[in-house]
Amino acid sequence: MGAAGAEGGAGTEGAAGTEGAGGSPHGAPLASQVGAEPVSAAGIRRFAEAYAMDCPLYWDDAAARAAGLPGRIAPWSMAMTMAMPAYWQPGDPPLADGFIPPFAWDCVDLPGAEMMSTRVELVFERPLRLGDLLRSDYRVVRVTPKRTSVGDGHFIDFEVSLTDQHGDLVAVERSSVYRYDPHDAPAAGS
Amino acid sequence: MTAIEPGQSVGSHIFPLSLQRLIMCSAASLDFAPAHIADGAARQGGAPGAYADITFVFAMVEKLLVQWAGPDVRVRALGPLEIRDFVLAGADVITSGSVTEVRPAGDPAWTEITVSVTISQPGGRVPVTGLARVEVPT
Repeated sequence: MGAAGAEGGAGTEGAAGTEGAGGSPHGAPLASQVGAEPVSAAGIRRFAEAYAMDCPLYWDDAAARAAGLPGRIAPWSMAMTMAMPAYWQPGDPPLADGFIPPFAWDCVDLPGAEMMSTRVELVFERPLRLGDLLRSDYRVVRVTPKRTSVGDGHFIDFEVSLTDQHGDLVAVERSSVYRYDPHDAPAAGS
Repeated sequence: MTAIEPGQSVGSHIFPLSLQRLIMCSAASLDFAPAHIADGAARQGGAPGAYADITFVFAMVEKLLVQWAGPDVRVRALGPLEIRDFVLAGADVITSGSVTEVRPAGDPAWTEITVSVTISQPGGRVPVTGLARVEVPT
């Protein structure tokens, strides 16, 4: 998922936004995905190691219990990682060269060879705990066409609800992505 | 923690981001998009070089908040964050912020604090600005 800057913020100018395939953010989801695996101590360790996160609540069950938690928690920023589905599983075709992450917004039928994030927000109901298996339901809030410094494309505003294996809400992500064809590249599909 | 007031700095955090470290972080985030791994792939998309993903941005803000408020901090929101430019590999990533609002949380034992955050890189680049919201023991 790209974190990058297009000129101007999401929907700051250009044509008026249109409702996307998902319609209302409270309507039926455009797409739903289930994380590749539940939150585990090993997964937390790998994440916290890469980012050098030394918060004891991520490493030590006793420290977490002393803080009033049932056990260690995952780093807060790990939520979207745990929501990602598997890239490949038995029965799938071999991964193609240059494969990209299986993001649900690729379900939006808009042209564009590239994609970048322009605005994000992650709001938490509670921390992620060991054993949590996240389901993410994607809804499109708005689609806004715009030409920027990097290309021609569309800003897509999403709302993603993350629920646990019991259906309880864990977090909500609101994001805007810019899907575009770079100015100096041929249009996708051409 | 001493009394917290609007305007108070929450300090800063520096994360040296080599390409190797970016690849390590991208892999830990399970984000194998080529632009987060290879300069050439990122340039094909119009970026100057390999750049960090959104989870990296969230992680930098989280690290700042935990560094400032301590391990018991409850993160309520990371964002909204405006992504204005690429967070590029090959340079330090400096995350800093200040308190903008202090108010009671739903639980009287906790206080809710809104923090304004900025991620900058050398050369005067400010790729990310925005807010975060936490709760700390009252």
